[in-house]
Amino acid sequence: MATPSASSSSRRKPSLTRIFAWAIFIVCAAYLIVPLLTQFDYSLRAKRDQVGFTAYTNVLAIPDPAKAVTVETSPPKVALSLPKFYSSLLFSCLMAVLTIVVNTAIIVPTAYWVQYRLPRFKPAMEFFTVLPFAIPGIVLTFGLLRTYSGPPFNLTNTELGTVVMLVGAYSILVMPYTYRAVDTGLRAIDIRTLTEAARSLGAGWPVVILRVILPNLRVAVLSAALLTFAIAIGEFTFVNFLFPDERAFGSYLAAIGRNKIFEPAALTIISFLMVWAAVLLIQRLGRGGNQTQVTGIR
Amino acid sequence: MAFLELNALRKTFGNTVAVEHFDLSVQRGEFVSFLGPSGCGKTTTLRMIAGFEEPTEGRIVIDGEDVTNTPPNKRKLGMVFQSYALFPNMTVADNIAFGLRMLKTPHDQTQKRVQEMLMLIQMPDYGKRYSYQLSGGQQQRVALARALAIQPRVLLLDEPLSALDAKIRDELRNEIRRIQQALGITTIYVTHDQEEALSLSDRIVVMNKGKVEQIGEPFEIYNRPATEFAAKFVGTLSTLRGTVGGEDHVVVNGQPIRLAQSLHDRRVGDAISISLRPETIALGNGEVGANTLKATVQAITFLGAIVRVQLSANGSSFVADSLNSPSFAPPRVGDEVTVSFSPEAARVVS
Repeated sequence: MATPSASSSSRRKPSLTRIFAWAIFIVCAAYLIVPLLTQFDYSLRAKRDQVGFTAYTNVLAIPDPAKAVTVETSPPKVALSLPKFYSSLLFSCLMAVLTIVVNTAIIVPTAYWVQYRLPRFKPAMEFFTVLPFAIPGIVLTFGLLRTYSGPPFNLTNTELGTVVMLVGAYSILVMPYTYRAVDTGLRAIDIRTLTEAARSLGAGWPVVILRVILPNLRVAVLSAALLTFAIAIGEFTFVNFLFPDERAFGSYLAAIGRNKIFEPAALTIISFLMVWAAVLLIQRLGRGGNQTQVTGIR
Repeated sequence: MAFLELNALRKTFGNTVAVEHFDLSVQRGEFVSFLGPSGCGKTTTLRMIAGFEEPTEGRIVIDGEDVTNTPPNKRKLGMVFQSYALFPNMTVADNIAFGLRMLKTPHDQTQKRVQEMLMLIQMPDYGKRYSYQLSGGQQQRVALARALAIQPRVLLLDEPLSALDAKIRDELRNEIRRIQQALGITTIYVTHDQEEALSLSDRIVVMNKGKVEQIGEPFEIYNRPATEFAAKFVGTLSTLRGTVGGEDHVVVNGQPIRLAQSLHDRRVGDAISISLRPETIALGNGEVGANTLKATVQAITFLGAIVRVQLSANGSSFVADSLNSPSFAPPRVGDEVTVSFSPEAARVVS
């Protein structure tokens, strides 16, 4: 039978552990939250002796819809004239979406095929996909620029070519994240049996990938998409060389940081909110519909 | 001509021979099981029929069409896997409809066929559920319905009951046989469970180390095994060692044992082994004309309806099965007992 002192000491032990755990949690949370709070506080002091959202309204200046869109009839043309914040954000979002599409279209079938048919190439794949981590961004940028901006590619000679080059560069940059997310997703499902079941029922390879494998990788692909989105939105090195006119959000952020005082802090908070919104959206989409589950036994 | 023909099939993986010289003719509507231990090549053979493995040599002909090099999605075969392989992102109805959609079956016909299949597997109200909402047995029924929905030329089942518990396994085994007979579909069934193979099949192919040991009906395989492996793998078999005592008998533990087989090609005094099934050995003196043998009880195992007695005579261990009944008094370990068996029950092994 436990003595009263022993029992009270055994009760104290877990509570001490709990206090220690809470202390660590609070310190870590403060490390992350305090800078954000100070940024937020700073962003509210654009006007002397006043607290307000002036920096935010300066950044987010709502465009006049009548002036924002111009429609011309001859030749037919729709032109957008938006404040820099929106136009750069729109441009970077477009680049991010293109990168997500290109990356998913390349990485999902590749990772699937390596896992299904060529497992002996997995170590090589692991090596190649970490190369963007190992090579400094500036080296990667110059390497790509030297290779593709000159003959025979001459990609930077045209607007479309430059976009292709930027999307290609982003795809390389985010490849480690995408490959790992997709690879983890593939490990969680019995792709061999699912593939063979689909094939025995008459499915060709495109159907296997698009209707059987991809839907079961939804969470993995969404996670990869979120990471791609976050990286592409804030990326600076590539866009600074390829689009030096502050057309992309990354170069716009850098320009604001150089030229303004309170607006960079407001932009930081806005950027965080955008990323959190994206995370919530991903979680929502990941939860929606049916649950993904490994079928049967493994 | 047979509906499914496997001609001289051979499959190697590097230097390893997985299947060698496999010949088989299966008639339309026949239920054939591939039976053997793990690694004997039965699943590899099935996968070659399905198109998932390419034969190193040989030919596969289905309904007169050589499909050896036809991709799996063009073979029009149905396959059921050990791990069910239901598509987790689809409902039960969508799983069953998948193959029909691949065949571009009109929507109304697809819906009708899905309902027919759900009725066939006795799950008419489960169409809107997902695989994770079903038990293992239900998942395997759906997998069966999905494979049957496309009216395949041959149904292939790769150890479909291995992942299920004993009771569900028995139920589903009867269900598979009922459906197969109702539809008259040609079926190849892979299993390492002899009871499954014996109870389900029209014919059994016993395999070992990539080779066919014996092809025959269940009764023939069990009662007249062609090889020692077939005899030992299918059912329990005890081997007794002794010497040749004459043209019609052997001597075990100093006791003569008469055989139905002639030993005219053996010399008296030569070493010989005979095999016995446990159910052919009775405790006691038995009927007139039966062989009797004195043996010592080594162990007794109660199996419910059967009491299995482990015995030894002349250094050879053997097993006798007795039907359990309230009046049955089993011997005790260490007792010396007399057992009996007919001359027909004892078969020469070597």
